[in-house]
Amino acid sequence: MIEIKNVSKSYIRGQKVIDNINLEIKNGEILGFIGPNGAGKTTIIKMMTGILDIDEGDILIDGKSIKEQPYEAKKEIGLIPDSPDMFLNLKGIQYLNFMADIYRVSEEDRKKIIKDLSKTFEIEDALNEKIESYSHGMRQKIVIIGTLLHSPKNWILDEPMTGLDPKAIYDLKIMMREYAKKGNVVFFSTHILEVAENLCDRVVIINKGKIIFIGKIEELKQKMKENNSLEELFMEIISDD
Amino acid sequence: MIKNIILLTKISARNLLENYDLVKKGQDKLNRKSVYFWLILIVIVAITLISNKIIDVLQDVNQLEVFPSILIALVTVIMFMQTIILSINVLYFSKDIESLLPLAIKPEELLISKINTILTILYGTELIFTFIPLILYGASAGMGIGYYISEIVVILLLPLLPVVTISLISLIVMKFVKRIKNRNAFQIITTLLFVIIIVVVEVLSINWIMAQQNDYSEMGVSLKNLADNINKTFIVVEPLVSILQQQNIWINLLKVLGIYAVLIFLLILIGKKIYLKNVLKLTAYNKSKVIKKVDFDTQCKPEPVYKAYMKNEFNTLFKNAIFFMQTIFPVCMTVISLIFLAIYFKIGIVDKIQELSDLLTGLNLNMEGVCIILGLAQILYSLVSISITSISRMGKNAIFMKFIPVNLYKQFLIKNIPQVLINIILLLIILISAKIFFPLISIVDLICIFVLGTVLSILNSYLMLIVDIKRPILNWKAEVEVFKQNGNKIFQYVWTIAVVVILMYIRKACETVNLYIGFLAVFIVFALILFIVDKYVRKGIKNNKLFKNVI
Repeated sequence: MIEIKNVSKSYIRGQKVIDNINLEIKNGEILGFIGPNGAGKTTIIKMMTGILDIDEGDILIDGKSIKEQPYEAKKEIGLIPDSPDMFLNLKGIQYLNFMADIYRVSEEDRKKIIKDLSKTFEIEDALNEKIESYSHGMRQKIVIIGTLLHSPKNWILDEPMTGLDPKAIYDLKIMMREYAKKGNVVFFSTHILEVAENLCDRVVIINKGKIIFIGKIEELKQKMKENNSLEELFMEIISDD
Repeated sequence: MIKNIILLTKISARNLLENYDLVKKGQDKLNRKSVYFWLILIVIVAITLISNKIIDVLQDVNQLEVFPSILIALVTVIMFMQTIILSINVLYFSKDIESLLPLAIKPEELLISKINTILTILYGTELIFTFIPLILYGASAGMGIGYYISEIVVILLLPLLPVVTISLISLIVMKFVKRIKNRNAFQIITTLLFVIIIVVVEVLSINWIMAQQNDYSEMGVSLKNLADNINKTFIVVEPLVSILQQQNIWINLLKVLGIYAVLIFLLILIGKKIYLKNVLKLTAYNKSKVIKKVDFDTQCKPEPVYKAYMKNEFNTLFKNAIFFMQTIFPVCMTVISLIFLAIYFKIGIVDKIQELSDLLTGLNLNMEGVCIILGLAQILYSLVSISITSISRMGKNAIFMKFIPVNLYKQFLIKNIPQVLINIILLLIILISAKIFFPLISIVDLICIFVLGTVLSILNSYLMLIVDIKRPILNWKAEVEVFKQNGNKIFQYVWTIAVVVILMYIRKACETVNLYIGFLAVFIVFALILFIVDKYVRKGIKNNKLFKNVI
């Protein structure tokens, strides 16, 4: 479970890029984070994972404050950053093994998860190649596997579909659903509104550092009193803001 | 064709100058804020002062005419080394090759533009090392205007030799390279092989001098012999030196131009036939894959977190050609040069002059000696760029440090280990040399200096890592940007100056006290600074301030 409580952030004094955000993501829920470029999506994700410090408020990961108990909180998170260019000089298998060591995953578990997921993503033949030789999509896949090695209770994905082929997008969507079904949190930011519409239990629309909508797609449609697609609703809501 | 070559060369040269931050982007003005601008200026001033001193000494022993031979031989060797390091990288592995391949460019145009890129770098080196020293020589030897015109001709012609010959060799060698599985390892191995060949040639030359020389007063003559030998080996250098010395100018110039014409003709002829084919072959091989299944039983063994983290640090340093060349390779070269110089001075000079040998063996260690050794160690530490690029080398991955559940302070400590280890190797070489030259230094004293040097090494690494954490370069596209556009190096030099000043002050303050009290004083000063810096790091991590810029 993730609780974002009265969180604000400024890079320049007096100019808040995140303005008093409150949000609760329950276990078993898939939450899509939508917003235009520069809305504050990545800033929120970076604060949730301890990459950026929080000016005001707090974020609790399974009840542990990312400010006060960062190491305990980080153990419960699996993050897919916006750039998948991680440790390009390592072979795929070396990277996965390194991630498993960092998160203290047992030999049996790491073997099983790597075998299963590399098969699902069809990259088992590339694991002995250096990551620098991978395509963007393959890099994304290896990072996805790396984040799931320790079976985090909170899976946070920053633009996870970027660069993936249609089959990999489909597999990832299935994986996200199944992961949430097991009682975990799946929190992801995306530009692809169709994915959010089909996949999410709830969506959050953020613009200029403020949440302008939280709820189910149906609620959004009711609110706007129109039977439009999410794309049209999104354009309408951010233009109103 | 010429238009295309000029255009490609202009683009390469402009990129190069901008990479070194020497010109302001989009303008033709010099960038006086660039660290490289100031470093080049400092090197030019140092070379001018050293050359002036050497010219004075040579004038006193009536050997002034030796100067151009020695200088040109030295610069030729430096330029050969530089071309070895650059050629395969620029010709075959530069980032722009794949973007240029689809364009309508002839193989010879691409080849010549690449060669011009290497040439531009060498002209820079040559200007730094030879321009002013040769003017100083001309003024001291009372040369006329003809000499200065010859100087320009020699400066223009000299770099063509290493560029054309090494490129020619590279083209032929690469023709026979069937497949490069690991391009990083390939670059490192070829460079090391070339360098080993050059070092072996130098060692053989020095041995030859040792065998011939019995009298120290003949040193100047022997150095000339060595320089002459090097110059003869490099075919056109001897006639170029003769041009400089105003001997048979026209005949020598024709000789040089003739040799160049043949070499360039050969280069273009061979390049036209094999260069583009080789580039395409290598690009294709790089993309080809041989499936090698993972052996989960051997490749998935768990390791303790900190061991895995440290292994990854060393992997990054040793498995990436650019990082290796910029961090580990200069240290290897420094170690080889130090051992080489120590042996040369010990066997070639000290052992041959009884008075000097007696003087050194009779010297006892005092505080001045301790401070000189530590000052020298600090200067060598400042040449190592491991800690100062530790975060920047990770690029956008640097955020990884912050989201993994591993204590940031422990990560900070692990990141210091590679630089501290390398520093200790350098320190040991200095201490062993000191023991060889000054046998009276006791082992206990050496151990005390080792402890002080190690504390200084940790302090140096800590401070440079803090600089990199505070001012990281994370948004790079090519690894080389971490080093070329890194203004943080200036802090390393400033810190070195500060250490030298501190040591000078301690030497003065401890002039009359017992040596061990002096050791204690130095230890207290360094340990106190280290304690304060460590406190700053812990506090910075605790209140989330230290890693603020790593995002």
